[in-house]
Amino acid sequence: MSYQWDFRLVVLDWRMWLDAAGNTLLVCAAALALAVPLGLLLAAARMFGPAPLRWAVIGYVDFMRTSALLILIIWFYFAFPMLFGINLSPFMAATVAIGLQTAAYFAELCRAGINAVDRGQWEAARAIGMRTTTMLRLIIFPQALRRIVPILFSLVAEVIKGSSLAAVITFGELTYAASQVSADTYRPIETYTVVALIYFVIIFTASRLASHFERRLGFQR
Amino acid sequence: MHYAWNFDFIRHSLGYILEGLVNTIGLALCSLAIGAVVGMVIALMRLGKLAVLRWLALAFVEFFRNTPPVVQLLWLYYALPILTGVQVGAFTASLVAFSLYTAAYASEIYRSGIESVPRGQWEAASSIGMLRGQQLRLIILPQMARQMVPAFTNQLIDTVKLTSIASLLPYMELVYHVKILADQNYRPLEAYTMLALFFALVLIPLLVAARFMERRLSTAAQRRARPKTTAARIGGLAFGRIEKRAD
Repeated sequence: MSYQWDFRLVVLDWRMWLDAAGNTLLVCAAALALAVPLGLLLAAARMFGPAPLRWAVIGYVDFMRTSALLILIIWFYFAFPMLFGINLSPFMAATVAIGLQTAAYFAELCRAGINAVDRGQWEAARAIGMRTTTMLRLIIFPQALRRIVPILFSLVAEVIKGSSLAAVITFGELTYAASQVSADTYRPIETYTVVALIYFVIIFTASRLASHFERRLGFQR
Repeated sequence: MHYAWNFDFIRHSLGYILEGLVNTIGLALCSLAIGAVVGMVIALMRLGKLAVLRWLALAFVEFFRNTPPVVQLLWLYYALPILTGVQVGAFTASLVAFSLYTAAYASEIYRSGIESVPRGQWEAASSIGMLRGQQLRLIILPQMARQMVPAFTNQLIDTVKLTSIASLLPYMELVYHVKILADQNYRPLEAYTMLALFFALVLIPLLVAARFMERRLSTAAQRRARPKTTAARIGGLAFGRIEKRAD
């Protein structure tokens, strides 16, 4: 099969690709800005809250873990406005959907990180008479953080992958731009090759940062 | 705000929804089955002696884990007919894309399964005179399976979630059918709410089962090894999973 590859038309408008990549990063940053504080709250509620609150958080986390992001994005774009009478822009809908799901994962991540701190560390802190807050601040959180930070970058990589689904509600990020270019140039293979490479560079960087921090902060047990 | 919910159209189209569900599950199971086999080959290549094969396998895994599945799917959908000369439908393109994506993650499951068994187990088995095959079959595989069964259950959850994007092609799975119903009846709220709840309803039991097996089946050595490999075993968020390996 001889196919004439031709990338010229596809990369002609490189500013457009740059804008689209910027939009991808923007929606990811916004989603993370929502996910990190909310995830911390959820983790705190899950670990230290009263039983009904704990169950509610478990329910929320499990629901989010089993939801397909595509469906969440569509739900927030089409269903949410009907329910509450508030219209969300594609950007807002994608941010909220990705942010709420990521918050659930981040909460699990924080909880796992804190639980992974050796029980002896809790006991030792208690034994020298530390208060709970002092113990958490000086002993537990610093050790938990060393486990959480590398995985946080893996989470960022997943968020970037997830942001590609915002294309279905016409948010102008990379995948949406690709669908436009592909329709304009009749060069779908070249277009999706280019966009795959752009994604790979961005996501691979986040993944490498994850393994970098894992090596730097990692525990050798 | 007051909204009059009306689920009648769903009752009237149950057969149509069920057909979509069957297609979703079929696609997910086929992708997982093929992905598990391909993933095994990739894992063996990565652990093998030939540097060329190791590099190829690594490139495969890194590429599929570091690009969005939507892009992979669309690329294959357009490229397969041109590169192979065979006209492929939405099902074939989805099956190939999801199988390869699943294979990349499955290979990591095998790899960490093998690595979770301490070297001492091999040495102990050979020191009491077991042959290589016996070591693998009687000592190593049972311990690997303890970790791999819950891991593959999680992978199944991810693959089912992943199939939702086949609706973009369009492949006639659950999401696609519900989308059509939502448009025909002007009832996106009911349709998409039902869809979201439906996924959770089907998948949460699997999640609970995986969690239970993780706790019951893992060996002490595997529990100790977990925190170190957490990042390596993180799966997708949108499509994959994040395992709470550290607890």
